[in-house]
This record gives sequence, C-alpha cells and structure tokens, in this order.
Amino acid sequence: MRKISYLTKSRLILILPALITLILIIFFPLVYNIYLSVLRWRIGTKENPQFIGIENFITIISDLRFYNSLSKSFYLLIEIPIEFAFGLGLAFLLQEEFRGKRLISSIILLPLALSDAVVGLVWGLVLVPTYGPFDFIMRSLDLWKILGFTKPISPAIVYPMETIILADIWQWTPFFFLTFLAGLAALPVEPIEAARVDGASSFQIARHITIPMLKNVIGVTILIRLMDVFKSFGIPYILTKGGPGFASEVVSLYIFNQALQFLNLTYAAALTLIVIVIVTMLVMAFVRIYKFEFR
Amino acid sequence: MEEKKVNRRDYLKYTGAAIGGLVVGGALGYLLKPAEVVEKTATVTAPGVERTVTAPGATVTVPGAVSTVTVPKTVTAAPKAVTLSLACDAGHNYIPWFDPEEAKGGGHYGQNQAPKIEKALGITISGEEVDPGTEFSIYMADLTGPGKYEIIVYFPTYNGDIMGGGWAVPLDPYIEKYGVNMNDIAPVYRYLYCSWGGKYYALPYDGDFHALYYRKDIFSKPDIRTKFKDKYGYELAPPKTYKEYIDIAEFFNGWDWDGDGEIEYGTVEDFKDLTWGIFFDRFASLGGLWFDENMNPLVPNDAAVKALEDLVKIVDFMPPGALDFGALEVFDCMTKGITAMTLTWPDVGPRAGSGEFPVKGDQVGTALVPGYVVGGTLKRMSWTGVGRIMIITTHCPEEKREAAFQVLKWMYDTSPMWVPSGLNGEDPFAYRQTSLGALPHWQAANPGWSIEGILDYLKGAEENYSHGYPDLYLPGAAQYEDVLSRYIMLAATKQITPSDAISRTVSEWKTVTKDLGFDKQKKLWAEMIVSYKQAGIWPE
Repeated sequence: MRKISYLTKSRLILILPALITLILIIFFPLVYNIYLSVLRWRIGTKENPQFIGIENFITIISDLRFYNSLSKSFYLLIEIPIEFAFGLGLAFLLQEEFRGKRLISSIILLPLALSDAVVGLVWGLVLVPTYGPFDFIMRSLDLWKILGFTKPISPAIVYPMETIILADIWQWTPFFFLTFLAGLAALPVEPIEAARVDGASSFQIARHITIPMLKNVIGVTILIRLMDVFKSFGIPYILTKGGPGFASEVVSLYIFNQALQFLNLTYAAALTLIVIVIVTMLVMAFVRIYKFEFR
Repeated sequence: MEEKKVNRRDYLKYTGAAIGGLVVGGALGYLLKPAEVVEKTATVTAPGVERTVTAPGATVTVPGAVSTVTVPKTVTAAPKAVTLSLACDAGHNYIPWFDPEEAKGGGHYGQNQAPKIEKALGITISGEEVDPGTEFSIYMADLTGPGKYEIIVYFPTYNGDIMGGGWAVPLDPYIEKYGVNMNDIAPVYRYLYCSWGGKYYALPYDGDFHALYYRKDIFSKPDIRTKFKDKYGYELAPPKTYKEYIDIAEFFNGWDWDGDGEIEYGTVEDFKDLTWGIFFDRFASLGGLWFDENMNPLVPNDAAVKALEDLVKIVDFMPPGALDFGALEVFDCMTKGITAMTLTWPDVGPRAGSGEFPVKGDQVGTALVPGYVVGGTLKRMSWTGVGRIMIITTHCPEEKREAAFQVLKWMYDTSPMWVPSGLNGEDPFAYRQTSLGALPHWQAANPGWSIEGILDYLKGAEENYSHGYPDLYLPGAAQYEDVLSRYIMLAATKQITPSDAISRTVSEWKTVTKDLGFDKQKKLWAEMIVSYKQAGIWPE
C-alpha cells in the first residue's frame, strides 16, 4: 500500500469539515427521511415507531388529497413564463444606462428581499375586501360592476390559485430580471454591434442574437424556479391556508399539514420522497429538452 | 515533493475518525455539563392585594355568586426555593407572566405575575415564549424528548394527546390539599378543559367562548324597531334563535342604518380561522355531538346538515368578501360600525370598551348566542374552543411538583386581576371573574369603559360560558377539524351542498379514526364522555 503524502493529508484535513457538513446537512436528512417513510409513528404518542415497509406509499396511491395538492403545484408552473416575460422585458428596458436606473432597479428588486410570509401578508392586506386598497379602488372606479360582479368579491376566496400566482409573480419577477440583467451585462458587444451595422432592428437583435446568447442563463433561471415552485409554501399558507376547501392546497402545504398539524410525520416523509422523485424527473426532463450549451 | 494519492481505506479511516471524534466530543460535552443549580431563597411574605369590593353605582344584576379576589397576604413558600421552566404562547398571551412594559414603569394592570411569584413564594420562573401556530409540535417534541418544560400553557384541544397521552401530572391531591375551589370554574372549562377520565390535570388560564354582539344603540331606535316589526311581525331584540338571527341579519343588510352615508351589513362571523367553531355553535344547539359512544361522527347527521344550512345562509348577509375575514377583521366589523351583529370571540366587548374605536363599549350589547327549539325546549350552546390551560408536565421532578402547583394556583387566584385586560387576549373562565367583585379590576384594566357597559358584557360573558360546548379534545383533533372546516368552506362558497359537505366529512372522519386506531380513539372518547357527563352536556 502506498503511503499518503503530507500534501494529500493536508488536503484531506482541509476538505473534511466541508465533507462532514455536506453529510450532515444533505445526506443525513435525506436518509432519515427515507427511514421515517417506512415507519408508522405519530409524534406525541408513547408508542414506539413500527416498521411498515411500503404501506405509506401504498396509502399515497389512493390519497386523493395528495393528487389534488400536486395538481395545484403543477398549476403554479404557469407563473414561470409570465415571470420570464416580465423579467426579460424589464432587463432589456434597464439594460441601457440612464439617470435613475439604480433607483428603479432597487425598487424592482425589493419584493425579492421579502420573505414569503411577508409577501403573503402584504397581498392579504392589499386584497382583503372592505378594508384593503384593492377593494377601495375597485369600488371607487365602479370596476366591480364594469367587470360584471354584482357585489365585491374576495380574490383569495373566489380565485385562490390566481391570487397566489399574482403574489408569486410580484415576488419572483425580480429574480428573472436580476439574472437576465447580469447575463446581458456579461454578453460580448461585438456581435450586437455587427448586427446593428448590418441594419438589424432591435427586435431582430434581441430575437436572433441576445436571447440565444442568454440561453444558458435563461435555462438555469427557469430550472431554479421550476424546483422552487414545488416548494411554494409561505404565500399559500398566509394568503389562503390552502382554501377555500382544498382549492389552493399546494403540495408543500399538504405535507406541512400532515407533518405538523396532524403529526403524521412518517406519512409526510413518504409524501416528501414522492415529491422529490417527481421534481427530479421534471428537472431531468427539462435539462434533456432544453439542451444547455456548455463549452 | 512527491505527492501520493490516498487509498479508499485510509480515506474512510480518517473520515470515520473525524466523525467519531465529533460524536465522542459531543457526548462528553453533554455528560460533563454543569448540574442544574438549585437556588436557595428565604421565605418571603407576599405584598398582599386582599380586598373586598362593592361595585359602585351598579344597576345591573349579575348572576353568580359575588366573590372577592384574594391573593393571600402570607403564603407558604415552596419546600425549597426552586426554578421552574415555563412555556407559554408568545406575545400578548405571555403578559400575565412577564410584562415587558412593567420594567419600564408602564406595566399593564394586573399583569407580570412571575416576579410577584418569585417575591412571594421564592419560586423563580424561567419562561419561554412559544409560537402558538406551531406550539403543539414544539410541546410534543419536548414531551416525548428532552422534557425541558415543567409547566406549559396550551390549547386544551391538545388534551387528548397531552392528558390522554399521560404527559400531565394529576392535580387532584394538590387541589384537595390547597383547597382550590373548582366549583368557581364554569363546568365546560372545569371538566372539559381541565380534566381527563375523571381526574384534574390542569387549571384554566384563558376561557374562550362565542358571544352574540349587537348594536344596542341601533336596536333601540324606534323607527328601526317599527320597520323591523312591520316586516317580520315581532319585536326587534337580540335573537334567541337562529331563525331570528337570520331575520335580523337580513334586515340590517345592505343599507345605511346608522346614517353615516355608508352601506352597512347584517352580521359577520369568522369563517377563515376556526371555521368549525361557528358551525358547532349551531350544531351543539341542535343537540349535536362530535361523536356518539360508538365513534359515529357528527351525530345526528341531519342536525349537522341543518346547522350547516343555517350557517351558509348568513354568508349573504355579511360584508362582501367576509369569508376571507380573520378574527381581527370580524372584531373590526363591529367596532367600526360595519355590521349590526357579530357572533364571535369574547374580545369584542373589551375592544369596544377601550374607547379606541368608532363604536364605543356602550353601543355594543353582549348576549347569549342564539339556539334552536329542540323537543319543545330552547337550547343555546356557545362553542368554547381555543382557550388555554396550565399543566405540570411529567418531566417536572417529583420534588418540584408542589412548587409548580403553587405557581398554577397563584395564577388561578390572581386571574380576576389579569383576565380583564383586553391586551392579553385572556378571557373569563370563573364566576368570580365576571361577578360584581371583579368589577374594580375590569374598571382598572379598561378605564374607558362605563360600569353599565362592563356589567352588560360580564353578564353576557357569564351566560355564554355557562352554556359552553367544548371543542374536540381527542388525538387527531386538528385533522378532524381541518377536514370539517374545508368542507364547510366548500359549502359556504356554494361549491357543494351542506348535505354533501356533511356526508363527505363523516366519511373522512371515519377514515381518520381508522388511521388513528378505532379502538384507541373509542377508548379515549369514552374517557371524554365522562367529562361531558360531569359537565352536564352529554344527552341523557
């Protein structure tokens, strides 16, 4: 057996803290989650955890509430193209240097700095009927009648998913804007200038040069949001609590309810694993279809 | 320098050694931590707040025995000076224990009892505020794990898990030894909040109930009374039945009855936060049960459908979008003059009484919730969900339990002083808190509220909690209630019929019971029935 050099030992010692951290924060929770998913155990009982194999997973097959929550999470995906379009548009608008650009950029970025819970509260206060500014504006301009409503409505009750999507778009469009703006700033100027010399319009430059050159940035941004949408919890929890009924109970909220409201931790662990598998499959499919261009 | 690659075995060896080192180090650190220091404190005589009060200018007779608030002048100190760990809801519910304003010289009336306990009993309370939204999981994780809390204040809806789970110390010997007058506690709190299977495990900290609030000033206007009688054929008065309640809500809905130029509405209830509570006000008044002896849910089912039908009817007489109102918006509807009535928590009275809202305390009347005539008798039940109780956990060492009980008793004894404050959210649970003897405390805590206004509220409060109907205190209560609430909301938004909502709830509750273990749930429910019978709520 070969001896380990001093240099190699030093390297090992140096990477060890990172490695241990990695094991503790990534692998341990995952392995523990898998362990929990094959048990029957409710927090608070004096009964010992009981090994039940795949019973939790079999229960999930007939769990209509889970399918409903999953469909709500998939429904949230429609916000990604909207955030993409707004983010890209804002990035193009603010690409050029002009007076007040920094101030406008900072204001646009503000929602991104807020936690989900705060965003939920803000939109809840804005939209709450009778007291909120949204209802005040709608009444003042007689918009309820113009839009065909016989009386004012609560958007969070009548259109719960759309209300969540609205709040999400407000919070996450700045993320798209930020990454696209950074991407645009990093692009070489020569191809764009050459196209301009050749007489290409701004739209043609954007379509045939800028956006294709941003392909990887766009792909990574969408990928991050794709995964993030399935984690959506704070806004639905604060705005609608998943209601009315089950109308906006997204999958994270359902798992939260199972784990921390119903104390059915082991079933929640099984649900989590299923969601991990679904999200992983979605990510893999996206990566395969999108064809990132890495040099 | 020659560099050699590491082989897998050596690599694993080093990694294993490092992890092993961490584990051993952690274990040694835990084992070698300093032992808990038990402080020694001399016996102290309490400052004493003993007083007997006659209410000045009282014109309203309040039912129930007139009692005095007595904090003993001399108290027997705990056998040894001890430190007890306490966990309680964070925020305003914590003020009765520790009032941060007191240190600044601006303390609120009757609050901040922990320092007084320390001074009087030599018992130091080490308090921790717990987020009420997740307190159940925090408490259960602690009870089943490290057990750092010795006294906890929690929502009695967790009784099935905490008392039924054997995590609370029985208090009967201490109650007997210290002569605690449990008869002073309203039956629903005494037997349903505080006891399990015939034994006491808790003393109340917060009594909750639903009450009917109405605009006393508007109800007494002659032109409005005439208009109402012309339309409905009977005198306008606080509704005694849900039929009357719906009539009155309809009458006041959609017009400017207070002449302020704004459209006002009939009533409002909190559908958003604790939806099942407003359903149970009605269902319990129809003689409904959470379960019968055989764990059949929502019995009788046709009464549940009737209750939900009546609940859905009032949606049309609430302010637009009110299904999205939480408790605070509901309170505001009354105190800002948006609705003529509301059926909600006890908080509306003190809020109006504070004088800080457009509608003042004297304009708001408090009455017993409506009910139904069942078998020729008018039955009116007020849902008493939420609330809070204090227990001693089984993690509290034997030698500290008596001291812990003295703390509970101190809080219970002084409750007529700290309950009246509208700041802490604590509501009356004992007759002496709503009797004339407590009036000076209500006045001191709510200086903007007239005596007549306070007495009207106290009378209404006592009527409601005396007709209290308990929340569900079984393991899995959150799951049962979640299902019921969601189907109520589907019915309220007219996505399904009330009949469909009840049948789906019944079906899902059966599944929940099966998942939780039918026999286990049935046994625990049988223990609950003992308390129902003691409280006189279980049907004969």
